[in-house]
Amino acid sequence: ARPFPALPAPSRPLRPPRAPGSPPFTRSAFVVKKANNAQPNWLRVGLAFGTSAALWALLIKQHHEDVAEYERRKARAHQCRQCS
Amino acid sequence: MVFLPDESRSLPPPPLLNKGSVWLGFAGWMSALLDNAFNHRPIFGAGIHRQVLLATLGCVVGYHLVKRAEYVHAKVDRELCEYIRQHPEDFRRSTGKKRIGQLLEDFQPVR
Repeated sequence: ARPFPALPAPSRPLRPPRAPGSPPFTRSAFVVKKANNAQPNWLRVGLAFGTSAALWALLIKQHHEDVAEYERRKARAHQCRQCS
Repeated sequence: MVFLPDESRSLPPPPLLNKGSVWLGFAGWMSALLDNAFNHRPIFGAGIHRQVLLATLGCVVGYHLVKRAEYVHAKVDRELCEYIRQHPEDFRRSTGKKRIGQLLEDFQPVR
């Protein structure tokens, strides 16, 4: 078998073909980091749990306030009409 | 445009776990599980803090959305009843109930 002829060495470094007038090649701003799930970011975990606890407390408080306000307005309306 | 006007507080508040808060809380939990799946983590066992946070956010948003929906429905009902009250001539109950046989045309069998 005849040996495959080798390609001639390029006389200058290869650059990707580009249409004339296109902007020069820029580095992307996005960097990908390999996530490490074995070592949790305890600050983020604590913040997430703390925020969840605060949100539940706020929600339950809001609900109790809504119930109290509704009862108050119902009592006031009944008072005006003087029904039993 | 206020999300919850003051008069909405005269309505009975929905229970804490209503269809909106449960559904959106479940949707938030699902999105945390999906995030685990897309990042090749154990689906249920990983990111418990994320699951809890997103489920909580869903419950909060769902509760307030249901409150707003109930307010809008009550407002529409009030306007409808007010209109009926102000236009009684358009909403008179027809004298004598009609039987369905009087409303339908006579049956003409086609052979």
